[in-house]
Amino acid sequence: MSDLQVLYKIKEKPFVTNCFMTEHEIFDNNDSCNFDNQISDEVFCFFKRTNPDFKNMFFYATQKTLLAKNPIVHNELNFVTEVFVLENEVEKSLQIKNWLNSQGNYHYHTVFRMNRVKQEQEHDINYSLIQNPNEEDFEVLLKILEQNFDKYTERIPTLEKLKEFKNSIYLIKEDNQIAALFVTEIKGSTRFMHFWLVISEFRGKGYGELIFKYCLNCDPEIKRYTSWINVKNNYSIKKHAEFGFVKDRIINFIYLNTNIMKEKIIKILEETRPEFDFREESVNFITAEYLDSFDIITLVVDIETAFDVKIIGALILPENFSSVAAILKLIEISKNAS
Amino acid sequence: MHLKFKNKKITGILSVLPANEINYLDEIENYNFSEKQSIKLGKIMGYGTRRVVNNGTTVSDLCAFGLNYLFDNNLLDKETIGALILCTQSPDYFLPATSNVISGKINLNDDVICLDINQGCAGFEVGLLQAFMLLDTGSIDKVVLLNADVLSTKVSIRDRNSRPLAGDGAAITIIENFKNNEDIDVFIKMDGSNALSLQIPAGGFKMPSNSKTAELKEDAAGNFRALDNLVMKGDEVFNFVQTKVPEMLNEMFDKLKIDDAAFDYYFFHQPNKFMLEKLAEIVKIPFEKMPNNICEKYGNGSNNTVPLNICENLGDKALSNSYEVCLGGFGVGLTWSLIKWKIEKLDFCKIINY
Repeated sequence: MSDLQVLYKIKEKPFVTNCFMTEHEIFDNNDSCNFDNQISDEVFCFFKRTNPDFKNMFFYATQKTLLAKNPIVHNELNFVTEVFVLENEVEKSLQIKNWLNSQGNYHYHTVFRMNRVKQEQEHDINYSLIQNPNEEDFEVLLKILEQNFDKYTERIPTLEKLKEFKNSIYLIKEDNQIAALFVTEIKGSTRFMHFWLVISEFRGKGYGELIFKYCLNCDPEIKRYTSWINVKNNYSIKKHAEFGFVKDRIINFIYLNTNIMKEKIIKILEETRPEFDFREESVNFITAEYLDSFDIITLVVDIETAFDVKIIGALILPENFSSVAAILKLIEISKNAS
Repeated sequence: MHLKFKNKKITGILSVLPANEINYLDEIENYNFSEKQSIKLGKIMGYGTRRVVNNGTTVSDLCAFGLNYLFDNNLLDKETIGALILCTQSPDYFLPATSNVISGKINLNDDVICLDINQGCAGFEVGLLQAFMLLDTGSIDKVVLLNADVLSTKVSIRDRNSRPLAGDGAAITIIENFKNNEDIDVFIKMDGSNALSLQIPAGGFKMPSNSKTAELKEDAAGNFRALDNLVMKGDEVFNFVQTKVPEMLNEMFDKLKIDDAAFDYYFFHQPNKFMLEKLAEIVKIPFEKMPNNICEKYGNGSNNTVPLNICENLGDKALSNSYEVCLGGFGVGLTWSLIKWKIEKLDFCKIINY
């Protein structure tokens, strides 16, 4: 049986998927999957590289798979799984969440979609500050995106991809330095609003609002504007609402596998106490005096920010910070409690 | 322990703060940590400015100053006072009681009962409990509760754990019998088995102060403190607050058949910003109902934080409005307490500088 035939078999049963790619994109001419994969009678799972550091996992899984929670055997070290569900499909999302948890994946962030349909354009605004990027801007621009946006949540494009967006990227510069940016992408008559940022030292000058308005007014052919926003980004949600964006019903739950989670935790630990090696698994960070109670407090805040979780106060105990595994467990318990 | 009272009213609250203000950023160089680490921790913990007394200023000075202010402004008639209760951990002397000293300073008559209570972060609630019991005797109609501490003098200048939080100050609360038939519910617990979680080891009769107890020693975390200084088992105290206070709040809700919406405000002790934020998260009280702005602005004054919290966040609004409040204290002892009460049209509710 070819890979494609296996997929058809799975699709005959009640199944769930997080994949919106066409068969043409997934399979080659011999009906073999184009990507590293793990295929069985009940689950069709493949890993597509979406970033130099990780792949995205896509799956078609039968209901039986979700309930059985049998581990999927694969060799992927770092991967992200995005699960799109409708707001009212809580039960389905919980089932998928439990299955992903059982496979060693942890809920990381949640983003939702906001849309705006074409409205009457504003004409009396001076947009002379706004320009498209020059060839020499792209590398700097990519660096800014990498520094200011989360690569697991925001799908930061490659340099080549960024260059393809050239005509739908808008910048405001001061002294030839990028002060504000909006990276958008136009597909048909829809503008996808990807990255909106005012560099901190240039805030308070109205650049963010100006560049946003420009995106909404510069192309009369655009009929729909779409933006994915982190549910915790209250500022962005408020601003989008002010510009006429309305939340729709699609939510994207983003999961990271254990390895990425551990790496992120180690990075936070290293930033807190750079003098210690937190990769040594046999060390108890508390008894070895790597961390004191005030380190734990700063760790709590850093972990909460990084993993979009509220750590339960009663669990802020030294033993829950004694190893990377203990911290991972703490994040999982706190996530499940919220 | 759940105690019920009736027919009592707070008629005024005055907070007295030392005018001397210290900014955390000016003290960072005293600590054995990088500036970046200290600034980050400061933002999380709410280390901002704090009020501390000048050398030599005592609890009796702050309290007498506040009481004289009330007398001079006709906000309190000294002849009507039946009892003077002082809650403090930093008395002027081992003996006599500092409340007696204050009584002498402001010339109270010899019918006024003076009582010192050694309490800290739950001192407001414990003091109120004592006031209610005195008022219930029927012989006393007005009690003056003093909550005052000058503990900043007992914290090592090189102890980043405790120093940036230590604030000083006093609060004067007038409690009177008042027939309004309103219930007052006091919930209080004490855990002596963990009494030494928060302590000043030397200076009492168990370990008198001497040159050795004054020597600064470095702890594992890089803080320097002496046995004469205040020391806290931070992890244990934090966990105590995060587990015991929510339990008591749930007990209150169950016993009184109310829920969190029963209160307009939760005026809680504010040990530090982080601890109260975490507590608010657990008990799911919105931040606007549980003010958390005292520590950052004035420091943790231990005994005075709850009345100061009321003065800062209600102020003049308390003169013309009524509020259902939950008062909460937790800390040294270990002691924790919650009081359900109504604050109703006070005669005064303000902060003055010493």
